[in-house]
Amino acid sequence: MRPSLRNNLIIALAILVSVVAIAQSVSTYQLCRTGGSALLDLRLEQVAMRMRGGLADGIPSAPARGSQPARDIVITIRRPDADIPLRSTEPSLSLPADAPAGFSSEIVNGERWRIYTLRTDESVIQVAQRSSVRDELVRETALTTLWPTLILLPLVLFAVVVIVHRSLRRLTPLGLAAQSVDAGNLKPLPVTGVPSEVLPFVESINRMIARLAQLIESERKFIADAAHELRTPLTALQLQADNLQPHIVAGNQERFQELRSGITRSSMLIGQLLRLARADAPLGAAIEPADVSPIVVDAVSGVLPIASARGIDIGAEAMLTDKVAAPRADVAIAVKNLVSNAVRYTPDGGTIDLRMRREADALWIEVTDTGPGIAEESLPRVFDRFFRANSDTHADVEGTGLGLSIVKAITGKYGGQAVIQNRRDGRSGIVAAVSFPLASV
Amino acid sequence: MRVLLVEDDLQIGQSLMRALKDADYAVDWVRDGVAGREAMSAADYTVVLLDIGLPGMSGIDLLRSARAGGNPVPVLILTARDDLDMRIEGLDIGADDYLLKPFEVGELLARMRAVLRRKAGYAVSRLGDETLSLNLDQRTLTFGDKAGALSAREFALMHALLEHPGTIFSRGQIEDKLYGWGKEVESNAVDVLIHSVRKKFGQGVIRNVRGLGWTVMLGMPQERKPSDD
Repeated sequence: MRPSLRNNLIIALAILVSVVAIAQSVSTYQLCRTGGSALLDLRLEQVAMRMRGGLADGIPSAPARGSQPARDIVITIRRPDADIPLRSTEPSLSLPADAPAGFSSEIVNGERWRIYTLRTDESVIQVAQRSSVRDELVRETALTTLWPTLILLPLVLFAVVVIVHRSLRRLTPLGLAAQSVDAGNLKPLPVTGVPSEVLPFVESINRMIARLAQLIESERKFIADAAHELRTPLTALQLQADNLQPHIVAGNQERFQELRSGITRSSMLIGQLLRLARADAPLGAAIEPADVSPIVVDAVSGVLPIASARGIDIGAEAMLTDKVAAPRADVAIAVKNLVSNAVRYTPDGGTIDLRMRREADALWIEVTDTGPGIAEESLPRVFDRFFRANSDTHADVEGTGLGLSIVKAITGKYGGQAVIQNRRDGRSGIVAAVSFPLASV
Repeated sequence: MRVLLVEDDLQIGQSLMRALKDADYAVDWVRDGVAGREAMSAADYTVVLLDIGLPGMSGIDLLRSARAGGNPVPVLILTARDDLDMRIEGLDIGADDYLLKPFEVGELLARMRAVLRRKAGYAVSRLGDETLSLNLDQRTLTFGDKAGALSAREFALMHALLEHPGTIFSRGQIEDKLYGWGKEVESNAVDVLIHSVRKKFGQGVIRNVRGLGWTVMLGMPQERKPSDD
């Protein structure tokens, strides 16, 4: 189980509080017993002292046996040399006459007694009390001292739980704020009210967020600058060539067209490179879910003139109305790349089918063609940059070798997949499929 | 026709000057945003070709200040930036069109003509081109060598399709365009309509795109175009 700061604190504090409470109770109990015992001893001594004077005469010389309550003190007075007591509050009890002066503990009549013996010249005064009674009195008093602790302990434990809960609850909104941070939402975490112990974490996370935002911004700027710097000279070249065209003699027009198609190819490559760079760049803004079926329709519209000129039957079989959690522009680039690849490699009179299907939490868009297919050993490399699977057999087909890398980068960026495989239904051709996670409704 | 070109790159500027002059435009060329603003306020131009990445004052700022100042001159943005935000921003603040570098001279001239036509409020009495055209006054359709009148519903169908040639319309979209809200549309109404147009003008006049819908295509009737993609 994951260690919990809260549980650790609560358990540690609860143990500490309980141990302190127990130690305190035990010591108080012991002290109380000792103190109680001393008090009872003092009483025996005081009573004995009082008996020195005439007070002893108040004790009846022959009280009834056993008339005295068990808890009472027993007083026996005798002459120093006599064995029979002069007076006794309990004649049935014969305290040992040879007991030492001061306090002693003796067994008389099968019971333990605490005895104080005061020896004077004319008399021996013995004051005694049952040890069991003394113990009971002392225990009763000592036990009452435990009550406050017994009542306070649960209250303190409850307070510990509440305080720990409350202190740590302040971290919950921070955790939620940290959870909502992603490339589309790069706001620093709130610092106000954050406990000083957690502040270093929050500040370091905030520094990271700032660095990430900076990185995304500089990458975006670099791509934009690169687009500008690469396209500007190409634009000049294109315009110069266009201006030159009327002045090229008829015999050289064909060679001139080659020059122009070279320019077109360069600009296509630059466009693809920029698209790839943009697809590889970390996510920038929050994603607006995209409706896929208009994207599919657009992609088909885009290639329809070429497809119909070449007698290719292009169509869709299953259209769904789901939305995906990826920006429309990026989904469109991925789908268009697959469709234009299919048109590029499908021979005249071939068939291209588009199909949408839902699988788990993803929406798949499949493009199936009747092209030559791809050699199995080349399949693992089709997403590599600048790799062209059919470059030897279809050298005449134009392409940059970046289209599928772009598709892969885009799907990967939004948590989708791109899969290219040969048809399994015995016909020649490939099934190119991309998936994007369904937008949560 | 007087054109203002605001472009900082020397080579592009020179080439555009030549191309525009060849097309019989009178061109003033300035190379930074501030000069562009002065030129726009000093003279009346038919159209302004505006680069975005300019020294001093960006094309976006220049356009914004011109529009804020009430200048209605048609503006065509020429830019190497193809990120979507930039394009939307340009159109939102009042550009009339947007051309991504590199472009061909022919396309630039066509876009300029289109912008001017739109600005002039030129009443279109015809949709389509020489291969397929719909006469809006006489409600006749010409496809290749065939021509003929259309019924009201057929005209509405061809009008809807020819407003956006090359766009694929689903059955539902066509029904929405042809029939009012809440009207009961028979399930095969669109098919019947398309069938009757095809019967008069041939199968190729409206193209069926399997599973998606119907579309019309311009500029490429029966003859085959070389594959150039």
